[in-house]
Amino acid sequence: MTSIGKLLLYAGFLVAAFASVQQADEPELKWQAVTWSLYAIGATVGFAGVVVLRISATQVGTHSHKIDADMQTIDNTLNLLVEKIESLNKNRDDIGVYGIHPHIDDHIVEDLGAFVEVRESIAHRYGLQRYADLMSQFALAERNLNRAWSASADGYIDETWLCLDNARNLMKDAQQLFHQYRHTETAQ
Amino acid sequence: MSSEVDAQGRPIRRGKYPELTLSAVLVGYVLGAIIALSIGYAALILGFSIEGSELAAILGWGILRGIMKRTSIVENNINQTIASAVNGASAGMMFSVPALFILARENPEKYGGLTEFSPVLMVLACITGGILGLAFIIPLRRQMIDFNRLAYPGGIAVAAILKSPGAGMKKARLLIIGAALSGGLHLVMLLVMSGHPDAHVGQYLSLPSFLNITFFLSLMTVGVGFLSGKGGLVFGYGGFICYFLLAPLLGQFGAKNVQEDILDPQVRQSLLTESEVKSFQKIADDTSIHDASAGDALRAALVATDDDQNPTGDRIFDNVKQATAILAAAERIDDIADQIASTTMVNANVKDAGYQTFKEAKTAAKSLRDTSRAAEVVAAAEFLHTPGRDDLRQSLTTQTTAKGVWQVVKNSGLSDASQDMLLNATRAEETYYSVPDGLRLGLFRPTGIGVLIGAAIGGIIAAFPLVRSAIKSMQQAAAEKKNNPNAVSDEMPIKMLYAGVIGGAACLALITIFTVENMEIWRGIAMAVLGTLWIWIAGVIVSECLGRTNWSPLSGMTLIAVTILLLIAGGLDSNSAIISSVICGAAICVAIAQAGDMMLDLKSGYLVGALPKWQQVGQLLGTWLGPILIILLIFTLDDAYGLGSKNLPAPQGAALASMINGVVGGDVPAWRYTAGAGLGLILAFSGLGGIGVQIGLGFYMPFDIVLTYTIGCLARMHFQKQRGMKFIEDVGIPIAAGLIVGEALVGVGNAFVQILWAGG
Repeated sequence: MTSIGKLLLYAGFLVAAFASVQQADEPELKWQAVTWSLYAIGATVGFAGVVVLRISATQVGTHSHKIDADMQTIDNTLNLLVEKIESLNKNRDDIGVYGIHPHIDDHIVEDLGAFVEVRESIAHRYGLQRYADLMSQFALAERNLNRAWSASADGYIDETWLCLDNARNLMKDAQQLFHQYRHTETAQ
Repeated sequence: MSSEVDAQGRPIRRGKYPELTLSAVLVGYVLGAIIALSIGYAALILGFSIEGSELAAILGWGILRGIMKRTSIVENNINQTIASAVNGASAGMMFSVPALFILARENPEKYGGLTEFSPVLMVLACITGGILGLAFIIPLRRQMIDFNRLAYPGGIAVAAILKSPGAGMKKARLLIIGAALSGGLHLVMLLVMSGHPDAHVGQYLSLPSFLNITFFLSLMTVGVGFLSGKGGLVFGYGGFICYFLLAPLLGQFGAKNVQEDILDPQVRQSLLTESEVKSFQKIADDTSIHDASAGDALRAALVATDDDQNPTGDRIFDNVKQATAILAAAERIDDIADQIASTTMVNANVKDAGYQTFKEAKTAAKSLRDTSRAAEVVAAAEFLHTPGRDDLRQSLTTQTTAKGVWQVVKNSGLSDASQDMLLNATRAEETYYSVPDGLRLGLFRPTGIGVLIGAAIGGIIAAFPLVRSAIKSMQQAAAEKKNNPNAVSDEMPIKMLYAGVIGGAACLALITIFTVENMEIWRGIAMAVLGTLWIWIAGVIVSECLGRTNWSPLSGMTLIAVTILLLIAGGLDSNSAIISSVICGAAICVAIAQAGDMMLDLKSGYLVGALPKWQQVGQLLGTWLGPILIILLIFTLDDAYGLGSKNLPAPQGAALASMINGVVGGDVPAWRYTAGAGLGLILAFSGLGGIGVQIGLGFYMPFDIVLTYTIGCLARMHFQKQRGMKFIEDVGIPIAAGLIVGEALVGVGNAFVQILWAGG
């Protein structure tokens, strides 16, 4: 169904785009420089594609195997991130302030990327509002990690520890929020 | 702060991490002023503005860390935020304000009063615009950066510089290698190709020219594509749709006027050969004339000669000189000199040009040192006294195709030599408006502007839950602060932003009302309200384009803004309408530039962990300085060289001036904007994130840039698949960031050279 929607959208767009540029401007043409009848046909087909895509997106959000797999990835990644930041916090005195930023690069950045890669599935499954709420927490956690990175590179120990604490708490909040979504889904 | 050290002797610092400090603000002001003035000046010559964040970050790194011994990445981030905020005015004002000077210079009788606008009101309008742009865009930070995760390749490059002290030697080395490569190539391009360097691959492969397979020789563009990755590929699709799908379809099924005027290969062949282009470029280089300016010069000359009594004689000759120097250098000077002797109608023009007799002019013509001066006399004479000059002028000023010009010249009844002279010039014109350019400027670009507008409006509607969530979180932060005064908020208070929007709109209305004496209150309010709305929409468009591709359709957005304002101001006399529209338009242009720059800086800030609130304050602190500096620069340069002259062509201002002329004459392609907006709306509602804005930008931008950018996107996809994300993070991104930095630095260096050159 998604393919049909995209096909209609692209075909309609191309037809309407062609109608938009079919004639060059001439003083006497003005609004007739666009072939509006053809444009209307293209726009209607394109709009039909939009409707099909929207319906398809709703269905995909609830039934797709890909989305299921992405949900699992998100769950795993959030668990991993919480675990790794927790561990970094525990061992921070041993690692030392200047060791924090290489540690983040080597052990955490890839997991952050993995989450970001599949994040849009959250919107498909749970809607934009919940996606926004979860991403707010995640982004705050990530920004605190980034700040810990900078403070560590500059040797500011208090700021580094504070940001690591914040990052851990915020990532836990994100994890809990995601678990709530899944729990509500299962209950329904 | 303590003086502890770790086991390796590195200092361990305690206490607050310096961020928004007096040092950062002052260094930001100084660097911003230097960058704004140099880039502003360069924009008047080169025709485009350069983002100064990278330079500010590097210089800030040297000054704050090297000289002042400061030790904070996020403090340097504030410095570059302020510096780029100061520079934001140069992009905004250099596109709009020079139009007033150019119009007045080109047609002093009709537009002479345009330069009598109030510079104080202009500055106030631009500062107000800057504040409005920021107040509108700041609430969208979460949506664009946190939720949609827009790439902002320029922001990534700045962050890479900021983080370089801690990123390790390997990444720093890769960044420098990338910078050296792109900077070196760009330097070679500036020296060898002097302008917009392209590889015409399609031409070498003898492919149809409408396919437009031309690559922009810029490693920065590859770097930007790399940082955008797969998500940026849709931008390429916009260009592919235009040149690989629509252009061939137009060739088969397009209207007669498209096929004959734009795509007819016979016309191009009859008027333009490769050797002529090469010879023309060589001659242009030899005579310090940019090839692209010759067509403009001829057109400007013809416009200026509209009235034989026109007092802008200097400008006529200045422009004609550019076109006719082609002939002079082509060793036709003897023929020209002979014509002088045989022509009986040029007496007045010869005297105007400073020669007493034809003989004197002829002698001058034969002197190599004064070649162009003598040629200018002939050209002026020919242009001023040609029986068919009205037809010719009309053909050229309406950008009629080479074929049309050719026919007019052939039917003009001129001598063969004169026809040759004019056709030579029209060949230059055809070089400028090649088939792909004709397609883009006449058809795809205006449609693309419409797509951008439709996609942005549709995008705002479609993303409403995200926008609402972002604003709600800011309101919650404000409420928390009320309940707990010690709570630390990451964002500026939402109420302050509301006040910024309402206060800014009210100020803009007041300023607009006072721009000209005969402005009615209702009209001023209407202009300000629509201008404010446009700032919001265009700010979103530009921020999203920058986020997805690193390119900003600032000029297109400003053209639309001034068009709307001119239509509202239509009841006033033309000078009043233009002054009020350009002042309000400059405010909008600065607003849009500031909005885009803010989001770019916030992305850098996100990557280094800066607090958005301090960056937002920094950007606001930088907003006032730029307009003051730039208006002083504009008046100084106009006094010294004349805006729109050969020394300072101000191409962006000239484009706006030409558009204002078009609007005043009722020539706006509103039909294409409307059709494009419908296309944009369809794409925006499709749910395929950001596709509308990117495809619109693909329509809007030159295809050579799109193609080169696509190489970067594909390279990222390839390496990500083959070598994994770790390789991209550790190797790809530092190199790509370096590619952006190197070319940007050489670009800014070129601006400095231009200043020194002019000073010398």
